[in-house]
Amino acid sequence: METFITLVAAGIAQGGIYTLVALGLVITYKASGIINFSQGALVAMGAFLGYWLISDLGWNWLTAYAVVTIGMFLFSGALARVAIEPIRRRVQVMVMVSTFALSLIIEALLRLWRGTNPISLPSPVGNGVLHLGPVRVPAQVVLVVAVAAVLVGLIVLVFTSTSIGRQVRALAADRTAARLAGVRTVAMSFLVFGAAGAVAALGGLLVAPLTGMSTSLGFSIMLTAFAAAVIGGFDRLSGVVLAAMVLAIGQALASGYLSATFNEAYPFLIMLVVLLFRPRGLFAAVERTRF
Amino acid sequence: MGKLAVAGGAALVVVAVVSGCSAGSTGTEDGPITFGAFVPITGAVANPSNQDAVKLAEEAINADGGILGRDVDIEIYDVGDTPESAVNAVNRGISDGIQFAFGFANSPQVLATAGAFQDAEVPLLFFTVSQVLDFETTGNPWLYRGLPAAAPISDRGIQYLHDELGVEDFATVTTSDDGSKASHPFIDAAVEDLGGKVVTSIEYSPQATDTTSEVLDITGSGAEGMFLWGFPQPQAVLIRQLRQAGSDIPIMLDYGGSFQISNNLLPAELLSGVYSSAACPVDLLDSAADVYAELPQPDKADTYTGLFYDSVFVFADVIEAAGSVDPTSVQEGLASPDSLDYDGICGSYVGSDDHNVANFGVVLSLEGGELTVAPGQ
Repeated sequence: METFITLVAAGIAQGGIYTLVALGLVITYKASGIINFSQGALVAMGAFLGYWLISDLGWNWLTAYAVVTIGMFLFSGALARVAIEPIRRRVQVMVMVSTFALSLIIEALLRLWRGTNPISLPSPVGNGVLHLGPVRVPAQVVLVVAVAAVLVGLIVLVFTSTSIGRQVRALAADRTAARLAGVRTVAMSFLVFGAAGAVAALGGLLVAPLTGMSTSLGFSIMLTAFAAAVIGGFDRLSGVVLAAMVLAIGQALASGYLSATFNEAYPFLIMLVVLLFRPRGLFAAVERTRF
Repeated sequence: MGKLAVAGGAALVVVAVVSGCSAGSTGTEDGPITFGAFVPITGAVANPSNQDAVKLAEEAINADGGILGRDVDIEIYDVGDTPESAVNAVNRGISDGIQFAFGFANSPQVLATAGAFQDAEVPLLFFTVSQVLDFETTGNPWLYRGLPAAAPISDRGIQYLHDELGVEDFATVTTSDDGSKASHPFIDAAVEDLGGKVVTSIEYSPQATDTTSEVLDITGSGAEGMFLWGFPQPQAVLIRQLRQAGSDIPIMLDYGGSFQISNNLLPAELLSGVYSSAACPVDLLDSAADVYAELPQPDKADTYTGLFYDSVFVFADVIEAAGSVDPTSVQEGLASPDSLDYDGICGSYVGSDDHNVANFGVVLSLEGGELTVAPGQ
């Protein structure tokens, strides 16, 4: 039983990490219909900027986290304006490939800046562990899950209860109609991509103390987050969070009880099985046509 | 007049080309003996200390009368960090007429250039540990390994855990990339040779961000100590989770263990009971102290700095024993303990027919985030 609880706890921790990255994928998709594959590179970029400020320049972690998050908001918003907006009317596959190219460019620039040797970001909460019954949970893991939960709540609140949220949803539903109704599409697009970048950066800052950092830090996490978004339905935030948890807990249990050799394959295996029976994902919104 | 000018010009070109070729080809009996040092000057693993070490070795050997009374001329070639850049560097070196070569710090570069050294009959001393470059695999008689291979690194680390720390039941763990997992049989063999027991044998992903199942496996197996071979980043993930799970078993890392400290991968409090079976930590070895003190940037020095320095003297030892710079004699001399028995700043180099001439190593402690020679070494 102790093994089971330990594996479930590890799964929840990984689920928190996947959620942080999946959030960025979902909010950009909800607002623009674009699946932004540069999200993983933004995770790495946030971590590297944090390392620079904290380890190289000696900033305290709170200030560094704030500066990186705000900086990445501005950077990502500007990046979308310059690199994604001009091609957004092209075929969707082309836009997706372009975001993937952006990811490669960002990773290459990070490699030029910091080299390829792995480094690690210090944890703001140290290396202590919390004893939850028989399970020892690292304090950093608790922080990751807590931040992911707060961010999910915040984003749900913004999307459902604010004017900005309504404008973003209108943008997603029909961009032309939204513009005619007075929604400032360019500003909204900047806001959404900026927010996704900020969430990615925060994810990088929180994950790096657990995993170490390399320029490809966010890539494999993003792939699993993508699987979570596919299962959860790209337009359902709560569905994606639930899917991230299902994938991560399934991954941990399968690694623990079956074989750890296929650890990275389990989420995609689960995704394939789900899509076999539910091609639109587990929680995708049902489209109804009225006559 | 025009024809005469053309003929004269052509003659001048021929003379220039011929003299240029002979100047580049320094295999004459009176000229300097030419070496190619293949150093990563650019790229991810660039380290200026390696070039500095080569220059120091060149100066020292020439100040001491050279080799067979002839000066040594070492040309440094930048191999970058890709096979393509290495091939370019080697092609330049061979067209320059180098007689002996040493360097490289990654296996793909050596694999990409091995044929060129064989075709040009230039003996190469390389510094990578991968089994794909074992002599019995490559069959290339011109390649020699100047860095301890996986077997002695494993032997030394396992022996320390067993003899000094009393470990009998071992967890042997590698990351699942080809290079690392190829070391697994050597680690397990070292345990069995000492009469120990492998209670769990694990290979895990080099991209692992969560190693909970591996930690449960290790703690559940009753292992008293662990040998962990692999990339530094997943090593750090496993060590962190193992320590946070409450396990304090001693952990022996491979020769790259110092990365945990140099790259701040793990904080000091998680490095208690962590060791590294290292090759040549020049900043910690008494035998390297004089050379270390002369380096312009000693803080940059690493294992390869010592290897680059020693290589020139290894060749000198063999050439002196052969009494000739004939490449075949030198290539055969590197395989014979009668021709090569040299104590360098890294330790002992002995000629060997398995083409592994580096016969040294030391166990380091990472306790408290400080690299020190482990007690009892």
